[in-house]
Amino acid sequence: MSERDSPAGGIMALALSLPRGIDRISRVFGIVATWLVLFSSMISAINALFRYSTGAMLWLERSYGWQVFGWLLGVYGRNSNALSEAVWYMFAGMVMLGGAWAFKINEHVRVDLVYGAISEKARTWIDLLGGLFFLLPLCVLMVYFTWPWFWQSFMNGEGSLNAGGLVRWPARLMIPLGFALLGLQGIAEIIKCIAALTTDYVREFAYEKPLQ
Amino acid sequence: MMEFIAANMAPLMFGGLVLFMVIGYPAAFSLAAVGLFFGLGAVQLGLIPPQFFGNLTYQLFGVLSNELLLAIPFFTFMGVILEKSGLAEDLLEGFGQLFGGVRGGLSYAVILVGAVLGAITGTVAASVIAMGLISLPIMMRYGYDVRHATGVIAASGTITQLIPPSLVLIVLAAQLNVSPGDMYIGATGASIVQVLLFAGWVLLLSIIRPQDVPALPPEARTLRGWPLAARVMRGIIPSLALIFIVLGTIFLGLATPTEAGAMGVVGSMLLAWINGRLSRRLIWEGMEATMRLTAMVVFILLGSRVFSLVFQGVGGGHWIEGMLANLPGGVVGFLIVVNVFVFVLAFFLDFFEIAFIVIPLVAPVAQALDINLIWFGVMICANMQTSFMHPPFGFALFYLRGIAPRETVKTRDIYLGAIPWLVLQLILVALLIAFPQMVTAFLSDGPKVDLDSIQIVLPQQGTGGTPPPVFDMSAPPSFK
Repeated sequence: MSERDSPAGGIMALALSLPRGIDRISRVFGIVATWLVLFSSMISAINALFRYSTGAMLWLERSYGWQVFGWLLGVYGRNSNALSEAVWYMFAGMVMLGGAWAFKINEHVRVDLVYGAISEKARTWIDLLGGLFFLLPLCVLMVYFTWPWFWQSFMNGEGSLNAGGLVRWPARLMIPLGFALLGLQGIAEIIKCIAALTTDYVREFAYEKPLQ
Repeated sequence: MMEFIAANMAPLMFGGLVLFMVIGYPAAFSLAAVGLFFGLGAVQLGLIPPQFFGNLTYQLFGVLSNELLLAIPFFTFMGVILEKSGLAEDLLEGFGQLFGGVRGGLSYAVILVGAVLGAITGTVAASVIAMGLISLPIMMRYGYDVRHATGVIAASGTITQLIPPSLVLIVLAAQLNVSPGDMYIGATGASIVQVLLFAGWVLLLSIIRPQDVPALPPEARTLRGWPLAARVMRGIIPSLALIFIVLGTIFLGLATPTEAGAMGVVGSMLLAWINGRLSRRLIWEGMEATMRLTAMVVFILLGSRVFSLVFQGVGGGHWIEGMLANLPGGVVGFLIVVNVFVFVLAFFLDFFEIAFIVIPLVAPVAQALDINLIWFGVMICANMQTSFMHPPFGFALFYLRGIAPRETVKTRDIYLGAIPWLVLQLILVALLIAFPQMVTAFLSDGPKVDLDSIQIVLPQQGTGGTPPPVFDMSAPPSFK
């Protein structure tokens, strides 16, 4: 990006504004996915808490006649299926919306038997060819296979099999949306690889084994 | 040529997977891409019908709607919060003072704390880092052998893999299609044996090489009597509370492992808050680390589902079964081959990759040979525990390297110090193969706790979509 004086550098600088925009999109969805971690764990905990304490609440209700517990249990009972379905909807969101961001920061685990031993340039080539021949076709095929399936569910207003459950299409949307975002990020990474091979652009995230 | 490809689709596909994974493109995408391309090729060759890909969508959705896998984010999140909550510090200081007076006392304290932390959470990082920061300097100061000190800390950190509520066991249960509650019960015996093996090794060392594990001098044990008891209690009480919230509710059948993980998140946040360490930054960092790990792990699973679907479609299952089911030695021969295979693979792949790629290949064979899948899973789990302890990707060793001072602790010492503990873990695997009762005894004639958890946990056994049982509370008695 530094050599704006040469025409090729100018084109590259222009081309690099695209991945920057894509990075921002992935970041926004990544932040949503991050919040889903907190929400899903809290909702699941509330779900479990109600279940643990149902007996105690019923007892309090009977012994003291406080209307509040019966009311709470009633509200919970009517919505419990929706709550427990919301938890795994959020899980689906966490994975599919966060996948692109995890890819952007090079967090997807690799077998680094070869990758760990070769030069940065060779790694860039692997990422470039992998992106072109693995990731992009993969994402296109996945969206192609899963979009009609989502669309059908959306048009039919398919509901849950559980009483009081949620409509299904938001959960189904996550798969095509997630692969579309991943493909978009794949395009960004391919451009970055080309830039790194042709100019002095440096890719910012070196690969590290993820912590467990 | 075409006939050759058509006849050997499964081996070719397996070879393609190995080739593309070794290059080093992210495993999740390599798996899915290999699966899809070979799948399209197989459709062209007429090996599988074109409608076959219709299953794909349902397979992927089955992964995302699997309630059990929610344990991955919950236990990871809990582990990150717990790591910073100050619990490990309290435990180590209390037990270190309590046991310090005997030879090898600090090592016993580390093993015990590793087991207690393991019974609370399901991730390795938390315990190794805390123990390395607190116990390692004390052990070095009072003349413990460096290799022994680093080895016992790294090994005790990995105990958490085998002790319920371990994330590894949940993932294996999901892959083997058995109840995670049963898996936990089955692993209990094995993890007790492991703790005893570790402690036995320290005892042996204190007899044959007492200079490696000296007792603390009296002046180093500053706490006595009531202050000591108070110190120990400060670590024990919150630990027991957390163990009850997470493990107790699973064994009593009150909660699914997933919900127990969510309760654990709340519990560890409360603990961190009591210790004055809960901040918005801590929570955000925990959320972000959790999101990244979850997305990464589940993408591998999605990729491996694509691969497996096509692989089974072109007859890969028969191919693997033909190779593994006719090994000399029958069941024991199969188990030894699989364990050696997993042990070797653990040098190249991390735990999740092994669980998602290898287990679906060997599980049907194990089932065909009439092997108890719980026993099989616990054995694989104990085996994979070694991968945390050996180069090149031993995470426990990495964590330790990250926090141990470079001047006094050489990388060589950390690697060499791990060897006796690796051997102990392999002894455990051998014991598990030789004595299936270590796992199955708890399953068949356990106390009534066993029955309870089986009753509640069973609905989880399906492919996942079904939510946990919900009590009918639509009409409380006094509500009319």
